Amino acid sequence: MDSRLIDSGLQELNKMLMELGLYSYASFKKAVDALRNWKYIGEDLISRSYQLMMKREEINSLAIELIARYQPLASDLRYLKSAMEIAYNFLRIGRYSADIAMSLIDFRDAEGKCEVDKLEPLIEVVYEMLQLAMELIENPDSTKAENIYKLDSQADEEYRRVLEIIIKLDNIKCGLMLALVARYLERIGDHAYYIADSVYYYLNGYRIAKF
Amino acid sequence: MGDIKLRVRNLDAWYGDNHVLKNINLDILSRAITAIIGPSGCGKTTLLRVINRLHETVPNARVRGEVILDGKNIYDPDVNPVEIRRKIGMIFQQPTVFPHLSIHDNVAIGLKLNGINDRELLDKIVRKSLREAGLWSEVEDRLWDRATDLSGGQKQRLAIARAIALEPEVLLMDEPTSALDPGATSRIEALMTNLKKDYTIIVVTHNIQFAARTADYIAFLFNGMLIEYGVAQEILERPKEKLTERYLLGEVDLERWL
Repeated sequence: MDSRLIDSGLQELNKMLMELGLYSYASFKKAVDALRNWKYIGEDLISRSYQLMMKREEINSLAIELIARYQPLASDLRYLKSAMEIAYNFLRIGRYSADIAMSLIDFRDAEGKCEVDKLEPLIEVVYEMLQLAMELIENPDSTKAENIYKLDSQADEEYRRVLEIIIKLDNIKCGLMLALVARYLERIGDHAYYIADSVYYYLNGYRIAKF
Repeated sequence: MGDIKLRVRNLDAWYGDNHVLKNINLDILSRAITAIIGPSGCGKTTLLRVINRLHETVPNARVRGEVILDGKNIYDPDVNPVEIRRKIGMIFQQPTVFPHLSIHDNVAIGLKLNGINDRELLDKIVRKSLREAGLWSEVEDRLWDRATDLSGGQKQRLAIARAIALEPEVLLMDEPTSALDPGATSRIEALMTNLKKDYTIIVVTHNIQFAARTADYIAFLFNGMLIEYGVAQEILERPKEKLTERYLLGEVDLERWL
């Protein structure tokens, strides 16, 4: 297609979305690392989540500007709607990552006493979901996006399994901390699902599953 | 979906050897706005002119197929085209204003040509039509002034008043706002949305945003063929046909998607 005026705006938006995604993904990696090694980086991740808020606001502003200027339709319109949805979901992933890291600070006196490794299977699935979401942002693909559905079921299953373990723990502080972190992880997985769903909507005009 | 007011069946139209409409099948819904969109030369204005039998007034123009209004094919031999044009009114891009006539008589002229001469009745219908066209408050104290002093937007509403004075069942509009400024455009758009409570409106436009603001249903025409037809929101957000998609995205060279 001949280059249209809107195209450079859409390219810019895509670049910003990739940056936001990478930043959010890095927050998640830092949170997991903090969890595995009981590091106190909560404050750092909170300030990163403010960065994400600003980046998300820039994405929304550009998307709204492109809508106002070009009144786009069809896949252009769907792309802009998806971009705004995806930006919000990356923001939430960054925020839950900060919440994970903050839990370690809140339960400081439980350091070294909690079996954090019980969360590993859940972490693994959520990692996979986020990686898939990142991949889809770079290369939108309907068939790949559909895989998120299976991964989401796995994450739900792992989450329930973790809760069953937690409920039997004697150390209340550890139980509480692990339950909170498990919940945050499960939510991060949900937001990765929403990102895949937004990519799928952009490509097809309808959603992976009905909510 | 509501009742079907007009059915277009296996419709072909020509100008001489030029085959401008190719096997069009389309159901137009009652009391709704249907927009016909497509690039210049796609046949959308011809389709409008076929629907109220204006097409045949051009030398060498031909039509095959049916246009069924309330169950009756308007191309049946026993149908009087003048009667059809009364039932199916037409509004053009450039509103026709008769310069030697007053605002009142510009609305009344269609009625007079149809043999209505009762002053009282004419006055009543003129007032009602001007009200329906949203022009009354602007002209009520100068009904007998010449209509040439009206602004572009007012002239277009005057043309609409003239059309609805004949109590048509269907209103055809050919690019009714493309010569108007944004304020006048938005008044006509609001008026159209009001009028659809009583009339079936078919509007032809190459302005997709205008169609997006006003239409309930959209038909996309290309090279004389109906490519896609459906609920406006669905056509605009998730067209099924690649060709519709490329047109909505603003692509110029569409042939390769045929």
